[in-house]
Amino acid sequence: MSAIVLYVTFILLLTIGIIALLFKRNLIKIVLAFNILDSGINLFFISLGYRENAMAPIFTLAPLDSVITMVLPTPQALILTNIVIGFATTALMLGVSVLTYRNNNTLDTRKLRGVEEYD
Amino acid sequence: MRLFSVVAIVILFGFLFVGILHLHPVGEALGNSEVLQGRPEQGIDINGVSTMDDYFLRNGQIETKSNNIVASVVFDYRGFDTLGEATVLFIVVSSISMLFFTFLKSKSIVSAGVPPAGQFPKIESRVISFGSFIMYIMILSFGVYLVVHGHISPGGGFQGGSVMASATALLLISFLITRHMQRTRKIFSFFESMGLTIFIGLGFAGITISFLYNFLAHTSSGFGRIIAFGPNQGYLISAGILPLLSLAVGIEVFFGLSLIVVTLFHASGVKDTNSLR
Repeated sequence: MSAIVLYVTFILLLTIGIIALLFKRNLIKIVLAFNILDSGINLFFISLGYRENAMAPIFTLAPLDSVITMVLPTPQALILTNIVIGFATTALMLGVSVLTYRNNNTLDTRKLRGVEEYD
Repeated sequence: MRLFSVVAIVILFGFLFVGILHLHPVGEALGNSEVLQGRPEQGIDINGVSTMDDYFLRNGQIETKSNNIVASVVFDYRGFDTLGEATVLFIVVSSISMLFFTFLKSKSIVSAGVPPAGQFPKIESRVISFGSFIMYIMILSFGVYLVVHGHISPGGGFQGGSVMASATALLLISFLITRHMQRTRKIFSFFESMGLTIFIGLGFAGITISFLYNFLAHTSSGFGRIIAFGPNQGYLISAGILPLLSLAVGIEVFFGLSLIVVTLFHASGVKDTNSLR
């Protein structure tokens, strides 16, 4: 059971993010939904490359045992850049939200579209 | 409409759940788990290799002379990918500067609590202003350590740059650099462009073989120091052009994220909203 608990967490994060993207009206909350999606995808990649009782793929001062197990390096390398890119795109979305609020005095997406009643 | 959305989400949830049942369990990643088992001392080993990560783990130290396999994947095997990601960061910073262009050109920026020149701000306590000045130096030193040691220990350009950019955010909340906004933006954008230019220039330096070729790793002294395969204590001058690329990315990430933080800080502190319309 514990073998797939990280995958189930990934699915829950992804579903929470998509639900928030579809049903939330506030632009700030939509940006937060993007962040939750991002975290879920990062967790999924890292857990794909995880090995039990393994160490980081770095040979500096590694133990001098005959058998060394290491986690996979490629998912870590991809996620490493994805975190910084996620930060930058979040900043861009928040900047657009700031300008939207200044020009329209609202962050509600339904009001921004000019829809009076929508259900 | 709402019912349709709920049904779609349930179907998506079901598809994902069926999908993960066909993946390998967490903790038992594919490939040869014993990294050094049966590996010859010299040369490229392809006998015990069944996946791409096996190849990186078994041959990364010989091919790129770097102890940190993640750094060798980021800056050597997938260096072109990293160039693309650095370009994405550059474009995001340019977009934010463009969005707030008219606003930052206006002279009537009113920020609360800006101190007179050469003094500590009156609105904050001395603990915040002076303590954040000390912490700025310490966080910056830690970030520089992460960038410079990126090829032999955990760290690298992206992480170290992010750590240093958090130091800039600390400096902003203590109002120490708010008076010099235009100059700050010019300096930051100059150094950010310089980091990306150094990266591309290092890529073109090995253009006789291929773009982003690790030409320094194939000399036998200096940055191309021959290190024995397996665990060692780590050498600062090694790994070819990896430390230089890491330094370039560190400069770009530090000044790019600092520019984002400074721009958004000044955008939130304005009182005059007419300049935006």
